[in-house]
Amino acid sequence: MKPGKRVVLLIVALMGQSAVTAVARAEECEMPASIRFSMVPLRDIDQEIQRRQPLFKRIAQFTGRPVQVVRPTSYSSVVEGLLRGSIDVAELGPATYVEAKRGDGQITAFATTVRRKGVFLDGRPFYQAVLAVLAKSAYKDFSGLKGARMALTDPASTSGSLLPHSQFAEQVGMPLESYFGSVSYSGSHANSVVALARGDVNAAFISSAQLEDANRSGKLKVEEVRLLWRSEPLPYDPLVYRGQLCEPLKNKIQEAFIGEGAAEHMRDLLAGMNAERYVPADDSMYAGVRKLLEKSGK
Amino acid sequence: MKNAAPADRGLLARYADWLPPLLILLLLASSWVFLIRRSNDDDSRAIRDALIIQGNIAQMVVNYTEHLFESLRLSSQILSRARSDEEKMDVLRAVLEKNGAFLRLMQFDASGQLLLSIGKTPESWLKAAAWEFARISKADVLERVVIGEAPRLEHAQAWMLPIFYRPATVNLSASTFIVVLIDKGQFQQLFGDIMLGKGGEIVLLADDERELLRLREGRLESAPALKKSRLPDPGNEQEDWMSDPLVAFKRAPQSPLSVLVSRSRSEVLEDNHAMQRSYKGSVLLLTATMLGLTFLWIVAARRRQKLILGLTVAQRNNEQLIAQIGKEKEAAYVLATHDKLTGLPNRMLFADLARRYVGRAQRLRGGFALMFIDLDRFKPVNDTYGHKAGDQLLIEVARRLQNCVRQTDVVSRFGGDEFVALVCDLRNNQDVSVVAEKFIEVLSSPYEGIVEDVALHVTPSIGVAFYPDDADEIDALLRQADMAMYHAKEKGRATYAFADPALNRRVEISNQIEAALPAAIVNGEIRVHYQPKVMLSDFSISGLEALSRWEHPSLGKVSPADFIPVAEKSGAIIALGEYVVTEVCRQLREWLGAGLPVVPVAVNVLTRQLRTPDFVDRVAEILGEYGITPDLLHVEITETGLIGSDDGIPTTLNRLSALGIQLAIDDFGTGYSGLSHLRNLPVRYLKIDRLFIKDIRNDISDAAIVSTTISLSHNLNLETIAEGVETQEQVAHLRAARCDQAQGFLFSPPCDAATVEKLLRQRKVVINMDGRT
Repeated sequence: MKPGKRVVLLIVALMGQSAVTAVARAEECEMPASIRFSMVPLRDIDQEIQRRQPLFKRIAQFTGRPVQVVRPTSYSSVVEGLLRGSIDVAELGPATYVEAKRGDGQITAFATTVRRKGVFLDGRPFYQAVLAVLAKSAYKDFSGLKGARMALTDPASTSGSLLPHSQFAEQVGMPLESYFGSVSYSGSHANSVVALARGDVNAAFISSAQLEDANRSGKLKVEEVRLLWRSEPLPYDPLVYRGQLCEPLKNKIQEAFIGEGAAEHMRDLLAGMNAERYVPADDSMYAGVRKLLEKSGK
Repeated sequence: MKNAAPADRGLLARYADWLPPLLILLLLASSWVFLIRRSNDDDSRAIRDALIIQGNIAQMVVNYTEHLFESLRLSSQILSRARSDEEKMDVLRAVLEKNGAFLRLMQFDASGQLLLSIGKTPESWLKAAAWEFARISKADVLERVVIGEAPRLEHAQAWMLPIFYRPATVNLSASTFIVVLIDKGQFQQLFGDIMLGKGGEIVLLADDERELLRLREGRLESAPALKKSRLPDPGNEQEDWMSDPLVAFKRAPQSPLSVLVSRSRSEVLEDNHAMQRSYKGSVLLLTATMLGLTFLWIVAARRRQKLILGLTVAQRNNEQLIAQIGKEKEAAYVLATHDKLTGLPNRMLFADLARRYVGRAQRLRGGFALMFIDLDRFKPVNDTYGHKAGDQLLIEVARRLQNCVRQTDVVSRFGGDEFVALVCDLRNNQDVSVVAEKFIEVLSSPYEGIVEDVALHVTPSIGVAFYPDDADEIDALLRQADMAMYHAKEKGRATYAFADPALNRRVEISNQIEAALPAAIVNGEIRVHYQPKVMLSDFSISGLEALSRWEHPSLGKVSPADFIPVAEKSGAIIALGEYVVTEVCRQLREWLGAGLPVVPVAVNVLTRQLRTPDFVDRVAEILGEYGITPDLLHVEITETGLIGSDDGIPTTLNRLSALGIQLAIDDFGTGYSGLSHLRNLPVRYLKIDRLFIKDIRNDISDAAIVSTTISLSHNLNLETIAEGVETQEQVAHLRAARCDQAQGFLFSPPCDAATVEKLLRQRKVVINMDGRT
C-alpha cells in the first residue's frame, strides 16, 4: 500500500471524529476536553516530553483534564497551532511569543522560569544570544568568522536566529548569509551544540541558557567554547495559554505551574533547567523583545 | 675458440646474477597490479552500494512528498464537498492536526480572494502570491500546482513553503484553490538524522529547478538567494557513477519536484581508502625493502665479480711469486748444499742423503759402502800449475767419479781434494774392491787438456767403510772411512783400504794371489785332485770331480775358495780352466794307457769361461789332442752362474752338449733358478748342495726339499748327486729318497791321481764303520 493512500484513509476516518472532538464555539470561552500542550523544540523533543510528565500530571490534576502533547516540528508549528486553536498551552521563546501574540492578541504569557547563576548566566532573569566557537579554534573575534560555516537553530528562534539576523547583521552591516560562508539551521539549540562540538560548523548562535545546559550535561564544557558576541539581554521563555480558554481553566493551569507545592512537584524538571521555580509572567516582560524585533525592520 | 667458452660462462653468470632481481621486480609489479585492480574493484563496489542506499533514501523522501501532495489533493477534494464553513473548518483542523508538516491551510476563490483560513491571518506576501496564482490559473482547466516561497526577509518564516493547488475544473470561474504552508522543519526532523557524512545532502528541487530545501549534514541550509540547481534529465534517473559528490536522483511521480541525495565521494570511499592506504603502505614497504635488497644484490654481485677478477690477478701474481721464490729457494738450496766448484753435493747434503740411505737400508735390510777418496799428489799440481788448474782437475775428477757410479749412488766433495762416494747394493767386499779398483783406475788415468801439453797425474787413496757392519751411523762411518783412507795412504798410493783390518788382509792376500796366479799356472804349481762320485746303490765309482790345488812357495796352500774368485776377477780363470781341462785329459790318457777302468771326470767351469768365445772349441781341441772321447768329460756349472746369464751361455752349453759332453748343475739349491729353469738346458746331472745334505737327518724341511728335488729331477730325466755326504744316516736318507749318486768324505776326500788310481782299480769304495774311508 502506498503511503499516500494510507494517509488518505486516515484523514477520512478522522473526518467523522472531528465533529465529536470539535471544541466549543468561538463566541464563548473554551473548555476543551483535554489540555493540548506543546513547546518550541529546544532540545530532543521526546526527552523533553518525558521530563515534563510531572508537569502534565499536575496540570491534569489541577484542571481535571488529561494533557495531550502536540509534537512540534518547528517553532512555527507551535505558533500556528496556537493560532488555529489546536494547542492550548505552550512553552515559547520570547520572539515566538511576540510573533504569536501578533497573530492572536489573546495569547497570554502566564509564567516563566528564572535560572540560577551559572557559567553563562548571571542569575538575573535574562539570557542572551551568543556567538560561540570552539575554544581550540583559531577564531578570536567574530570578524575572523567571515566566510566561516555558521549554524542557526530554528528560523523563528529568538537567540538562535532572529536576534542574529537583526542585531548581529546590523552590527556587521550585512545579512548573515553574506557575512558567513554558509548559514544553516540545525533545528534546535541542542543540534547546534552538537554541530559545533563535532566541528561540522565553525560557529553557532546559541542561547546562553542552552549553553549553560550543555555545560552542565557535559555535551560542551565551558572551557571548550569561546564566546565572540553577546546580544541584548532577553527575558526567559514564557509559558502561554490561549486567551480563548475559560478563565477558571486558565487560572488552574497557571496554578499548576506556580501554585503551592509546584516547585517540589517538578523538582527534577526545574533542576534540569537549573531553575528554582516557575514564576508569574506578563506581557510587559517581552516589550523589550518586541521593540527589538520591530527595530530590525519587521 | 679458446676465449669463447669463458665468455659464454661470463654471460651466463651475468644472467644468473640478474635473475633474482628480475623475479623480485616481477613479483612487485604483480603485487601492485593486484592491489590497484583490487582497489578499483572495491571502490566501484562501495560506490555501487552507496548509490543504492542513496537511491533508497531519495525514494523515501519522494514517498514522503508524494504523501504530502496526496494529502493536499485529498484536503482539496474534501473541502470542495463540505457543505458548510463549519464542516470545512473541521476538515482543516483534522488535516492540520494529523499532518505535522502542514502549518496552515487556506482556501481561495478563483479570483484569489481568501475564502477560508484557520489560525493566523494570511500574511500580505501570501495573499499577493495567492492572487498571482489565481491570475495565472484562471485560463487553465487542468490541475495546477505551484510551489511558492516565503520572502527572504521574513526570517521567522524561512521554513514556510507555500504550495498552491487547484484541481482540474470545468467551471473556471466557480473553482477554488487551496494554499498549504509546509514546515521545512518537518523534513529536518524526519531526515536530519540520516547519516550522509560530511557534505552529505538531501535536496528538494522543484520542476523549474528551484531549490526548495537543502538538508546538509542534518541542517537546513539558508541560502542568500534561491539557488537553481541543475536537474538531471527527467528521463534519466540513473545515478552518476563518476561524479563527486555521488548523487542519487529520484523524481516524484505525482508532485512537481525531485529529490537528490548526494554524498561526498571521498566520504564513501574513506573506509576503502584507509584500508588501501594500509595495503599500499605494506606493499610500498615491501617494494622499498625488495628494491633495497635488489640494489644490495646488484652491488654485491658487482663487487663479487670485481673480487673474483682481483683474486684471479692476485692469484696469478702469487703463483709467479711462489714460482720465483721456489726457484730462488731451489737456487739457494743448491748453493747451500752443493759444492760450488764441482756441482757435487757438499758435506751437508751428503750427510742428509746418507741418512736417508741408512733409513732405506734399515727398511730393506740392505747395506752400502762409504768410500772416502783423497787425491794423492794433488798439492804439487796446485803448487805447480796454479789453483785454476787445480780447480779444473777437481772438476774433472768429479766428472769421472760420477761417470763411474750408478744413478742411485752418491758422489760428493767434502772440500779440498776430498771426495766421498756412497755406493749401494754391494754384496760383499769383493764387489767393493771392484768399485774401488775401478775408481783407482779411472782417476789414475792421465788428465789432459788442463795444462797445455802436459798430462797431469793424480791417484786416489780410498778408505771404505760398510754400513751396517762397520758402523750404523753416518758420522761414525765417515770417521771409519777416513781412517781407512789413511791406512790406504800408508800402504802406498793408488790403493784402497777397508775399515775392518781383516778385510784389508784378505785384500792383500787376494792381491798376492792375483799377482802369483799367472806364474803358478805356467809353473805347474796348480795340481789337479780328484774326488770320486759313487752310485748310492752299490757305492761303485761313477765319476770323478777335478779340483784345483795350489801350494805356493811363500803363501803355502791356497784354498780354491780364495784363488778361484781372484782368478775369475783377474781373467786368469781362462788360463786356469784351460790348464785344468788339459791336465784332466792328459791324466785320462795316462789312465787309459795304463788300462785303468776310467770314469768320466767333471771339471768346474765358471760363467766367465763360458763367455769366452772359443771355449767350446778349445775344449774340443784339447779332447782331440789327447784322444779323449767327450763322454769322459763332464762340465759342472754353478746354479748361481746360470742365473741371469742368458747372454749366450745356453748356446755355449748346447754346443758342449752337442759335442757329447755332459753337464751337471753344481751347488743346486743355493741359487733360486728352480727346476723348471733347467728344463730348457741340456743338463744331465743335478748336484744337491752340501747345505741340504748336512742336516737332512734332523731338519725336516731340508729332507723335504731334497726328496722333492730328487723326485722332480727324475721327472725331468735328471740324475741327482748329493754333495758333502759324510754319514751313513745321510746315505740311508738319500737312498730312501732315491738319490742316484753321492760324493763326500764318507766315500773319499779329493785326492791326488795316484790315490784315485787305486780306487779306480777297486771300482768301488768301501765305507768304514765310523763313516770314514
